[in-house]
Amino acid sequence: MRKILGWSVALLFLLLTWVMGQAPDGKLHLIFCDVGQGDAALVIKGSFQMLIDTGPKNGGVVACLSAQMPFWDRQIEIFVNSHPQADHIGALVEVEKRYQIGKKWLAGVAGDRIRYGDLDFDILWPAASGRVLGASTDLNQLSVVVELNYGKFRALFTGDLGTAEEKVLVDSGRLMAVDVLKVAHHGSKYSSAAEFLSAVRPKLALISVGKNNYGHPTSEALERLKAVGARIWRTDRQGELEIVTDGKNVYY
Amino acid sequence: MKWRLAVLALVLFSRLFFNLAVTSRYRLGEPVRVRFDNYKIERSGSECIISRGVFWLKNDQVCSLKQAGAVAVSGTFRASLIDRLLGRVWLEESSHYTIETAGESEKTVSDGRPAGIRGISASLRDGAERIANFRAKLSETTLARLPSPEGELVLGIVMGYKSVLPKLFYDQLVRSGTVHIVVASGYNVMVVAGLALSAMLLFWRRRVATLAAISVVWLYVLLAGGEVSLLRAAVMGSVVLIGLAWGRSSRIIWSLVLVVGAMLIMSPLLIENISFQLSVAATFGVAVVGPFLKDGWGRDDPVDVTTTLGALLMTAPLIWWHFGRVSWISLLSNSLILPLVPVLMFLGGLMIVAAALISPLAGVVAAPTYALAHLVVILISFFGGS
Repeated sequence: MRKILGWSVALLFLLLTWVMGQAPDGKLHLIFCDVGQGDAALVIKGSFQMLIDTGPKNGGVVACLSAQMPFWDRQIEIFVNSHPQADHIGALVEVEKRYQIGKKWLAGVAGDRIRYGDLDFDILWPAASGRVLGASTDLNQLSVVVELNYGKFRALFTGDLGTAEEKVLVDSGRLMAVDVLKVAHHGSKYSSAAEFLSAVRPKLALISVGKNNYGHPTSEALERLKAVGARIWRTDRQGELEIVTDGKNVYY
Repeated sequence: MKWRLAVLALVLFSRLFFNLAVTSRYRLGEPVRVRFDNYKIERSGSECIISRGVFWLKNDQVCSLKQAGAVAVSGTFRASLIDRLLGRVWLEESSHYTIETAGESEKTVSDGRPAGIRGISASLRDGAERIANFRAKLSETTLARLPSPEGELVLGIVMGYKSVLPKLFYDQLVRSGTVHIVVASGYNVMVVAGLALSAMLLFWRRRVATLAAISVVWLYVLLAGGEVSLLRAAVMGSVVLIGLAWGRSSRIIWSLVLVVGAMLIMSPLLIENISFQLSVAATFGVAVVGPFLKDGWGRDDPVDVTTTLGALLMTAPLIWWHFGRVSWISLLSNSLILPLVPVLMFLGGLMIVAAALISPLAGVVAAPTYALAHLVVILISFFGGS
């Protein structure tokens, strides 16, 4: 009996320690998971989580979610898929085995907005008509572009957007300076045009990339990012990145 | 003493005179071609084992074979002894053999089993499939309640599910010398036996409780996948439990000698099987060395360190001999982690059973299970590095 009591007290103590260590702090946490060649970003505030893309199958997104979410929270409120390619949605089945997903936002169009408390998510792309005139129907061109606003903090998630679509966005005059840019298409030279980067002037440019045969991230894209003064973070070299902000100050 | 000798003599007699063991009709060194249809591939370290009936082959080339299909292997046999009941004919690893995926049917040798056995094995296969489906369902409900790698760790510890472990965590387990805790092994069987016996003793007299505990052990073996190594461990565990209940403690060694002897007489090649050696060593450590250490220590031992140490002392030399990776780290990591394993097995088992029966209860048990599993994960990543 004394043995059972001893174990119960020890387990309770352990449980309280983990609960205190994992309890949400009320700040906005933006996590770019290291999922190899692919994208997976997690937005956390309080008990709210939004997952933007899952990365490829067995890329490690479940380990990232497990490390970042409190153990008792088994629900991701919103899942957004930038576009249905394997390096962006390949691990959705794995995620659904471990977590319930409140709402899947799979086909957002420009003008859509999600509000959660003081978090604003605006969809800037694709246009309601869906395509750039005269261009082919490449899935990358239909990448959902999400702008996150929280206080003075702004982040832009661009999926695998190409330069032609970037130009349309620049011409629309909708783009604003951002604190964090998820660099499009893992640093491809056919994305992140100089004109687009001058419009968004990112302080921090995050490249979600792993081993690949495409030469990602390309020296061209890296040079253009350096030219606008962005600090570059690569998941293949520096691993997972967590950015914490209270809406005014940004820490990472 | 007399009756035990008589049993041994009887086993030996039946083996020699009732032709339980026969010498192979396949001669050593003679080239043969074996056709494997519907073969099974099992991983064993960096190599794989392919088997069909009594024919077994272990090497790294077969890892690339597909699970279904036919393959023909040309080579020579490793031993001339073949046992009708449990025997295996191993193909010589070092001989020059070729593996053809489109094998010829002519001049191939058959596995020599009577047709009746195939009928029984088909219905066994159905049962096994049902258990496998049930296991898959239990695994799903567990993973849905716990984060990674805590969920996988609990599945590994309770049900011997090694395949779901994330690579990074598996590497940490290997480096910290604790990978054996996630493999359903003789140690797990002994832990289940110990836990079940303690629980049953609360309700019944020793002998009834022992029989109930043995039933729990066999249920566990079934749920943990019923691998041969587990079956052997369960046989040994059952014999040891009966020995403990019906006799003096000195009889345990005898029971163990008897059951190990009987197994070896039925299948002599078992002696070179690593998992068999580990099962015997762990059982001996838990049943004989553990209590000996406890007596020697003479003090209160709330977390059963002596039992753990007994199993560890007996298995460590074998692990070192076969895998060459017992280090001081593994002694330290094991002495910290192993005492937590029985409690984690108990909580994890309770959670898995609850998930299958009363779902909300599983949610309640998940919290303390996570609490302990997370501590174990932290210890493993500390000792296993990142």
